[in-house]
Amino acid sequence: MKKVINAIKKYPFILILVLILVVFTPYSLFSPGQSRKRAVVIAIGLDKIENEYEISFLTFIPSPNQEFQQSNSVVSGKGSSVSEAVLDAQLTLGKDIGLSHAKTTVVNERMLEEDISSSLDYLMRVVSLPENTVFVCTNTTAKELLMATDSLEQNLGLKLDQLVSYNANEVYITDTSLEAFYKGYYSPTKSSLIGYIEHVKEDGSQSEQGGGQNQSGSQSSGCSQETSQSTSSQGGQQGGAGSSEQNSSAGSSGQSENEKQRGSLQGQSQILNKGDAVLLRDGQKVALLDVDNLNSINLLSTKRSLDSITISDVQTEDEKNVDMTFLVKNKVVSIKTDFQNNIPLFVANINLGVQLSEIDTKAQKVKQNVQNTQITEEIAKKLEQKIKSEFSQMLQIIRENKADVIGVYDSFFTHNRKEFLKFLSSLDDRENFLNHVVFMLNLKIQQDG
Amino acid sequence: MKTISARQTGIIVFLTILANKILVLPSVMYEQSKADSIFALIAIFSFELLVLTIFLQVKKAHPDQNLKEILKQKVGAVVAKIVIFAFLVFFLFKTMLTYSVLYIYLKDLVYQDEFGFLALVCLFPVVNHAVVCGLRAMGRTFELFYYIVLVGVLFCLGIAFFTDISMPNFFVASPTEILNSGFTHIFAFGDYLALFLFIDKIKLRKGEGKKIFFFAFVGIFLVLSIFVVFYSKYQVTAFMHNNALADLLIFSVQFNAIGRLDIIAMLTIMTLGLFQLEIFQAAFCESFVQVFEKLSIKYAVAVFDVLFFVIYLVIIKKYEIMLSFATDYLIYLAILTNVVLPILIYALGHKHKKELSNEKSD
Repeated sequence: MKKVINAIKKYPFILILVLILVVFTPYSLFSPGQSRKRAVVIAIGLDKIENEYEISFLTFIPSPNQEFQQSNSVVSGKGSSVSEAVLDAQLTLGKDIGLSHAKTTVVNERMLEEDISSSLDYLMRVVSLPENTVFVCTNTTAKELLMATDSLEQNLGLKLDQLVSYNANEVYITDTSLEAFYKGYYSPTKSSLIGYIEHVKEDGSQSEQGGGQNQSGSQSSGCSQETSQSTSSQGGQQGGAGSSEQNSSAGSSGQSENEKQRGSLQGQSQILNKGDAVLLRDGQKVALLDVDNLNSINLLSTKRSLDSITISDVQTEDEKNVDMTFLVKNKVVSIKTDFQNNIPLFVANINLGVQLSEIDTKAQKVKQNVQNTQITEEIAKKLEQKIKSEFSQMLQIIRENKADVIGVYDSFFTHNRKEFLKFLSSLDDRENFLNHVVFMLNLKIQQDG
Repeated sequence: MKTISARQTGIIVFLTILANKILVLPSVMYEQSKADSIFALIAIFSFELLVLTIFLQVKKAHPDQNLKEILKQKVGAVVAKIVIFAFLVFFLFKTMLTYSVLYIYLKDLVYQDEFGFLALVCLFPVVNHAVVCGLRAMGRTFELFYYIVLVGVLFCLGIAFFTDISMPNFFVASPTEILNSGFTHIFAFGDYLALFLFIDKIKLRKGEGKKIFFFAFVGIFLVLSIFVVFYSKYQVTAFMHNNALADLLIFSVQFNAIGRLDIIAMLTIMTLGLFQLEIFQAAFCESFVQVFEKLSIKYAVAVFDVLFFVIYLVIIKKYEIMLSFATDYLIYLAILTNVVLPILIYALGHKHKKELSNEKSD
């Protein structure tokens, strides 16, 4: 005993260590697991029905088992404010929510009729919604999309955030995270792009009304807990079942064949990813951009995107009036801004390396080797016309909505700041500056390789 | 007397230069002067390098004396005690600010419930033990962990380059806004002033001052790099991100796909925070012992703990209040310690030199 006391006297830190162990060991042993106190949210849905907010959480519930199992369930809450709705959902869950793992945030189109940032503010500041969450909009309610997502994951092993991330990397080029939304929102042009995922119900309708038919059945109002299923890691059989289900459902839905292939069907509803995006200004939806519009936006980006260009009625040596589809394989972009007679000039010099990927002839047989087809002057001219016409359509949309998502403001501010600020001050409506900028698109189209 | 080497001194300078500048500061400075905050930072760091030169001159002139003895010779015992007491208060609040910044970070990322008391109970026994063990033990520990911390910071910076970054727009804020942002956050600077309190415990051979400058430049380079990369990555949303170094890692979508790399930022920040708290508490205790000569370092540690718990947990209570207290009131204390006192010490040293040369010529 004396030795122990002497040791403690010599090294008093041991006593502190022992005290910490004595205090915290029982506390750690008897306190319940974090999963009992906190629900792990992997996706959030935000809807506004009349003046009431409805928040839905796709939660992940781990369960101890010999093989990995997880249950996902959609839990929702309603309230006159977002914080009230969150509290309501927490009451339903019987747990606090943890948003650190939330990878997707879905909002209903109607939420974008007013500034969405005020609705997101509480989630961002108070409950720590991560900014790298993928931010998407849907045509039906966000809750329905989350429920459909759950089944999408079970049947195809595909997560919604993966689907949208693919769009972000290959279609939009810029990412469509919450961070990217805020970057646009707080920029001088107040404009941003977010992903758009279409949700189609059994009858093929894309209505905005709630009460969709899901695997869990009809939705109940107020706090409801729906769609609780389990996913197995040995899901080879399930994957097979998913694809067969997709085929049978595809036959019953009223969509075109093209849409059926793009969409991921599950049960009675399907998620359609057409690669569309919502154009926002001041946090409000101003336009829906399709893939062609987005390709035109991406034309000015140095990064390559999934871009194919189809031209029709091309004359070749063997055939007349054939349709040709080209893939953009290489792109060199150089943007220059200048002022001529106080008029801002935005010049984009673009070298495109394209490769013919498909010929649609009116005759039955293709007589030429597609890979060796040369880009003739006529083809280059047609391609140029097509690109320029799509670009001007896109330009018209962003001009009408005063939403500069192609970085015109930034380019002028960086390279011609003095003249640009002078130019802006000379305008009655500074936000309408895009209408006064002259765009020049110099295209050089070549055969890739 | 147990002394520390020039290299260990340099590492202390490196650690203190990073203190309070790599988490909240980039974000709050951006609110005031956008990316031009970097100019405010460069101006303050330039002044700090001058103060480091003053420190080396003082050390050269008084190799074995502590700050109180040096000041006593020049301005008398009372003024010397007042000056050291100012340092005591400065480092007490400095510890609170450093703890607050670390606490906000841990609360955001690790434990989202309030756990202030728990954090203090876990952290302070370790810090107290280090201070009681003395500066040499601390210096050796810092030396051991220096490369780990350095690699951690460089890793966080490096990862940021794998995401979309573009240079932020400079020359957007007015000179008044830049000066204001520097002035408002001056309490986050001057951490290396602890060296003046450890002056008698530092063993410097001729020409070893360069080593200290080397570590200071490494620290300054890292802080400036973190500011530039952080502003390049987040630009207009920089004000929304309170944990600059960690956020360079976390919000890159690509890396989230392969796992939680933010554990690296977490370990780096926790190690840095722990070491900085140790240095600041040691500086407090050193000034305490110099003011109250009859009391030992153990009393100083006990007094520090009591003061910290009473002021922080009872009076300040919340870390947000601590941050606003630092920007509203502590700036005046920081002006005194970071600017006035080094200039005073320099002036006294200059006067002493003149007197010596006059004596020689007589």
